[in-house]
Amino acid sequence: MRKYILKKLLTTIPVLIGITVIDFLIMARAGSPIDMMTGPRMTEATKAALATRLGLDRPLWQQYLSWLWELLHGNLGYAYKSNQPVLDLILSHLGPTLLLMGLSLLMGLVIAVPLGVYSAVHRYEKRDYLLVAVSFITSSVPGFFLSMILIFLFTVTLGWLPSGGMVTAGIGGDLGDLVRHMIMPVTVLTLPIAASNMRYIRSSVLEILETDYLRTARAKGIGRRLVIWRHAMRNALVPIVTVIGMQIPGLVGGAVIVEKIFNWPGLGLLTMDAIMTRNYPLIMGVCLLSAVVVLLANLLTDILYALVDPTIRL
Amino acid sequence: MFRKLTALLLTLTLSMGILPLSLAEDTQVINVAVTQTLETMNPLQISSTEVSKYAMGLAFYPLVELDRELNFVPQLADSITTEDNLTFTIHLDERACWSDGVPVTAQDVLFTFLIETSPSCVNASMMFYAIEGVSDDNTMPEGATEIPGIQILDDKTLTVTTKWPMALSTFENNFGRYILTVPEHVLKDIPRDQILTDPFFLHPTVVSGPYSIVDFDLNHYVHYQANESFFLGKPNVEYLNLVVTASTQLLAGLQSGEIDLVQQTTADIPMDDYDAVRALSGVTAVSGTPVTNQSIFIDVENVPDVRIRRALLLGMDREMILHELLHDNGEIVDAYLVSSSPYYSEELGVTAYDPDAARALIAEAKADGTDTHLTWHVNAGDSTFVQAVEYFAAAFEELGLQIDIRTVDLSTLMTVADAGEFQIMSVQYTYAPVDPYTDMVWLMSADGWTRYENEAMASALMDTQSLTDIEAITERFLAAQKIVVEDCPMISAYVLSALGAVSNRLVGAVPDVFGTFVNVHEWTVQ
Repeated sequence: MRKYILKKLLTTIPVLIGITVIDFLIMARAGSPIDMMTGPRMTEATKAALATRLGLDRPLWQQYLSWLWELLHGNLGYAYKSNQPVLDLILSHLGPTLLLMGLSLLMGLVIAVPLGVYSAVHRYEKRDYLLVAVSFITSSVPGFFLSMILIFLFTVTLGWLPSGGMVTAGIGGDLGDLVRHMIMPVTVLTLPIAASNMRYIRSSVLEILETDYLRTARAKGIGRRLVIWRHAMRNALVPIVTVIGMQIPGLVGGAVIVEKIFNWPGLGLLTMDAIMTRNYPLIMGVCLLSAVVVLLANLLTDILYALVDPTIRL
Repeated sequence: MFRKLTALLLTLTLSMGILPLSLAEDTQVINVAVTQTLETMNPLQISSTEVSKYAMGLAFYPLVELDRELNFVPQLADSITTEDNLTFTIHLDERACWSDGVPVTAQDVLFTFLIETSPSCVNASMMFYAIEGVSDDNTMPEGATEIPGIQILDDKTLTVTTKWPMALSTFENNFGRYILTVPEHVLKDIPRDQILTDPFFLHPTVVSGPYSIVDFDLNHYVHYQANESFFLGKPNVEYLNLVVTASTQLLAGLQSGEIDLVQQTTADIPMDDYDAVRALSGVTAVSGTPVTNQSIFIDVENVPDVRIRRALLLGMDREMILHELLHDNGEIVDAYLVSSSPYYSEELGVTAYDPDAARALIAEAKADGTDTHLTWHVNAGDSTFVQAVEYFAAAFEELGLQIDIRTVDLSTLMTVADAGEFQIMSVQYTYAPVDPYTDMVWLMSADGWTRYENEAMASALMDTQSLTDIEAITERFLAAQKIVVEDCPMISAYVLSALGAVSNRLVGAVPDVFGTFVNVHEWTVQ
């Protein structure tokens, strides 16, 4: 397996470089950041001076190589206008996003696994129909709409929860304060994750329950709980791992709308703002991070396959 | 096991959840909501966006600021004067000092000018090129230690000489409000090419304004703490936060008490929420001075026939839009001067809606072979005006003018405008009522968005900069505006009166377009 991982890691390098080249080309086509940084009354000479300071007067390939060279030296550059180090900006926003999205994914799985199995075991019964219907409704309700309802209920009407932020502005920061701020955004993100994963798990377990070896296991007198949780679940996990693997990059991408509504200081909003203001260094930094996470998530998924299914050999 | 875990989690969640929002009512904290993200907290990179200016100005005090009545009031400088509209004398308040006790001096102001005009800084939002000795690209040579147009007279006095006549209000509005002085004694040893990225600007340890910056995240918040050494007295409220909030959340925030203040130019309460905000108990809603001009710019090279441009003005039922879409929160003016401007003249009047005259002009132009198929670029983020343009387009179709609407994001709109790749474009534009010259002289020029040139108008505008008598200035602005109305390179659709709001627990704060924060150190919380 070690050899496999090493080989896989080495093949990611050209892929990564390819991704950054494509990102750079697309970004450059979107328009000049100079337009976003100058007042309407500025002279062309001023714009030229600014372009020189930022290195935007050079040919595109030189700009890219310069970025790559700095990257190899651990420098992702500085954000335009704010002049903050890109690496610091990304790292400071990565934590809140991982916390929000990671907890939501975890909660979603904690809800989805038992409900998915329960639904499969009781297929075509009223409770199965009820769970499937609820999961469809839950995943159909738009996040922003649910956010508004929760804010109206828990902030405006009851006054229990803060409407936004990660901690109380300026002076908050203890665990209780953090939890209060997380309840609504985590709920909004958890519900669709739980709903869609529950249906994946249900169909996966249903398929396994039909197999001969499970019928044999039951005929041998192995308890129902043991049959489901030890024999059925392990095999059902293979397709589920694929789905979860696909959801991991979303941990980093964040949820822009939910972050915006709840004013969550995550990467999603940072990225969105960088794109809107054509903040090249920041856009490249986030793209690089996303590419790395996607590639690592794929690798992790492959490794998890081997762990849950011994017949798969890497 | 699963049930136990679920029960534990639910109990924990509920116990955390039912704790009241006690901090929202803390007497030591004020939360000011803004709906735009901040571009920077580095005063050397200040731009013309109000939110960044106010956010930085709380820590790095401007020289002067506008109050609600549009008078320039002292901040770091107790006076800015001129006798010839060329040389401006800035006298700093004798009491002005940095938070470490060091006096703020004229040398600090010069140092700030030097850094901002350095090639390794290049502030592309300030008109430094207007100052004697600064080149057209807004810079001085690298390593410059003086600027020919800036002379220090004594510790607290300096003069700035401009290349061409400039009205005092223009100087105060462009330099007095936007030069945020930085401390030379802290920054002087940092190499110029590293000064923008210096950690000082991430955590400023020395400030001159009423509040120190504790922490910030440009997309989310700025946390401030009262500056104990503020020369006008320590602020009454210990903590102040600027919180970036979605505009749709302002109503909920005001209602729950999480937001104490919403100011008109930094936060945009959706028009649909105006009535609900006005009805909130414990909150005072304030309609701001109508200032934000929904301007329609016409590229005269792409729409050369003045009859078509005039038809656009005559064929727009602006009063109806003001009444139906804006619920009368604003006013209609011709051209760019709003009624609150000291240079406003009622003599200009307002061009009446006249569809028949518009139809006749369009037919006449069409008969002469003029293209009557136009495109109109609109900011997609301004949903109210997108609706208005859709209405206008439908109305113009009946008058014989076909209009294709292109809704684009603001970034794209600015690119299109700068490149002159439009026929009609509209954007909300705030012409400072005390200083309309600066924007108009650029907008109505070959380099500006309209690419419109008119010697008589340029001359009238230029006169406003050398005159000192307000009636004479008003007369010259009137002459310039009459030409705008006649040739229509620009049309004002309406001037928006935005709504602000303040919690009744916050005493002394009155949200308005200008002057909200001039007395921030005197605010108290009940």
